[in-house]
Amino acid sequence: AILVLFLFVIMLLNLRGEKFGDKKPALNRISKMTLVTFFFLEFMIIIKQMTFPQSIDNSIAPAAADFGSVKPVAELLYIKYIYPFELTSILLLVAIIGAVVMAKKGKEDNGEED
Amino acid sequence: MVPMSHYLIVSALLFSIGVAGVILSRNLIIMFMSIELMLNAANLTLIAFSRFLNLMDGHVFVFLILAVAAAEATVGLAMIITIFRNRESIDSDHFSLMKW
Repeated sequence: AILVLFLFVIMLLNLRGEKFGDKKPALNRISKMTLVTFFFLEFMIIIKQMTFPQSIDNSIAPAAADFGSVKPVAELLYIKYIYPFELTSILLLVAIIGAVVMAKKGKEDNGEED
Repeated sequence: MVPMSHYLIVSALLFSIGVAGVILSRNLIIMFMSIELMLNAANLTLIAFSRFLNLMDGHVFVFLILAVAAAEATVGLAMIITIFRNRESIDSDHFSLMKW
């Protein structure tokens, strides 16, 4: 659904190609590549230092037969996490209203909100 | 049985690719997609831990996070449309008015 939203927006915007060279980019390519390389290296260093004790992989209980299915998720969602669930529904409503208000075509005279 | 570190490494790599997309790209839509990628990398970590602790709470977290991500994508895309309507460009280098 999110992907479909993205496709709608891309089609709406009707973009031309990238116009190269019309403004000097703030970070040139070399510094961008350096930043990303350092970020990758940092992640790899952190992961190398993580020692997962072998007991985690061996001593976990075998998953229940209905581990990833709908029933346990629904049990938790409606019993233990009912409060975040309702709040999320309100959040979705607010997001829909906000998005529609923002993307609506106002009047051309810099629309006075009435 | 796949050991847990494999899941976490995949998630870390996905997150790094997302960060690379946000830093390297000037197109606002590409940056936004990379942010969604980072969010989903965190979701993958939650699912991995939920599986290996044999608790379903991680699945519920991911459920709610996905709902919030959909709401955020909606509002973010509406903002991008508004920016494009006012500035006729979605190149992030054109929006540097506050830079000294």
